Amino acid sequence: MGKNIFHIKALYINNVNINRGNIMVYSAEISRRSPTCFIFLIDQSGSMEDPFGGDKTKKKADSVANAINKLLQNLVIKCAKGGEVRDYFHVGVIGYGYENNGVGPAFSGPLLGKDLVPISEIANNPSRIEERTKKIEDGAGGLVDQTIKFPIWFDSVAVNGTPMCKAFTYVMKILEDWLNEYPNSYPPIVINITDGESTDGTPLDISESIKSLSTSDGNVLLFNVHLSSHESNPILFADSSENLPDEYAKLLFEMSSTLPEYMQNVAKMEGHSISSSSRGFVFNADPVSVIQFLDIGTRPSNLR
Amino acid sequence: MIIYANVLWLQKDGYSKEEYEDSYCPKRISKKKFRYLEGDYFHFAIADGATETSFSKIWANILVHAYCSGKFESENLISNFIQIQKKWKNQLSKKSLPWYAEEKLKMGAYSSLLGVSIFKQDNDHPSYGTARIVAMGDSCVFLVRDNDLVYSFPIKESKEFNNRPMLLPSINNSQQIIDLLVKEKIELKKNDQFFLMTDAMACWFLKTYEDGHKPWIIINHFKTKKSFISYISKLRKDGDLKNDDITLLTIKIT
Repeated sequence: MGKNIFHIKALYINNVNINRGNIMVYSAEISRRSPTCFIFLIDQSGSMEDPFGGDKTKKKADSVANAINKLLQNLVIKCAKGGEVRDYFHVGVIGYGYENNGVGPAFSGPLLGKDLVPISEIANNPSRIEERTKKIEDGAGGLVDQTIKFPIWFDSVAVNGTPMCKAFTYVMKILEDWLNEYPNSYPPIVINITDGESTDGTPLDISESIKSLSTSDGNVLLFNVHLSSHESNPILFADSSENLPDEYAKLLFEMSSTLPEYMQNVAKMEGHSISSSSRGFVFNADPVSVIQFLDIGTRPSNLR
Repeated sequence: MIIYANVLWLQKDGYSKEEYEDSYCPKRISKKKFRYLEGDYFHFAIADGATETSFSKIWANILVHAYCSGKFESENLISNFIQIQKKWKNQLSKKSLPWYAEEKLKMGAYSSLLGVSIFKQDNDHPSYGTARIVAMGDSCVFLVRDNDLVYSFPIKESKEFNNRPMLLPSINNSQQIIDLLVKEKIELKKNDQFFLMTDAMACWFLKTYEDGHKPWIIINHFKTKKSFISYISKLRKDGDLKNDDITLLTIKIT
């Protein structure tokens, strides 16, 4: 018996050593007691009235509203378990450029005026729920229409300038408060959705300040979703600014965090073309994949 | 042939027992001590419901019971599986759900499945007995013979584990998914010992073995659920075990 007890102790010691050799950042468990934080920054400037991706019938502001509602919906569904929603995420939607070049919370409906709320509060308080149709596989190689519920938390707005620096400064304060409360959580992710044309100076320095904030698990991640009037092909997770179509895209690329190794691996598994320099930068493409990189537990590889 | 079986399980740290989403079968081995099981063959199964899908615990339960009632042995596997999927749908609450629960329901539930069936020696079979194994996903079985690990299925190395395994869905794609079920057959010897475990513990088991140790010696010293919980808690605290539901089903053949 004595020998076996010794053997078990030896294994404890050995496993601790193994772990110390493999400590990774961006590996903190995301759970209700240790949530992470998403902040969406929404450009609501007048230029967002312009057409999106060369399609004259589609405004950028509408694409943003659609994207943000879809992102929130995906986050809620990700955390839904049976009839409840588990608070794995705290989420803020901050608009900039609306009345008098203002910056502030952009939720409409019951969440109006709130900076950061647990995901269950978002789930239960949409401004309204619309019904839409989407194509799904019919199991026999074809597609059928399925009616889906599409909640709306955010409506399209497009007025005034693009005070991006002011917006990032506003987010800094929210993040600092949150990080004080959750110093060991998975680092917050800031997703800035814009057409790129900042009107209050270059946001490069303030974006660096945001990325320098951290938890014990890693630095805050800043991702940029660029919605442009350019007719260029969509780009997901660019690894160089070389082929980007304009100076705004290049600036947003420079501001974006490099994807942590874990996200790179997941993105590869999801079929994206990824290198070690790939950044959280999306050009005229669906940003939903960005939030699917976070694991709150087992996600089936065959779940679509 | 006499078979003794035992099961130990523990939910994620910080979660309630009701939130444990693994399942195992048969339930009659859930007592602390090993049980002698009578019969010419025995079915055992474990399943691990995916965290990111809803109603996965129900699906994991349905799968292990379907396996233990021989539904995966049949030649009519596809039609059986479609019936199993229907059972999941029928067990769900008929009351109205909030919008997010309704949307998530459409995605279906997902779960791993690992089934081991042990058949006693018969006149046509020269060996001590045989085991048939069916697997989908990252729940594993390890066979220890003469104090050595001789078989690891379906995962062979700890580096193969990740958070995105292919799992059995409760809706659609019955044909494609059944084609991906992996099956094995093993000749048994006296004193063989099987360890069935869900992914977090399986990963720890393989890592420990790859480091030159014999994790089954540790497992065989879990005399009570208390000693098991104590060891698992220590591993989790030290970061040596992912915080996940754990199910460990042990089968001894004598």
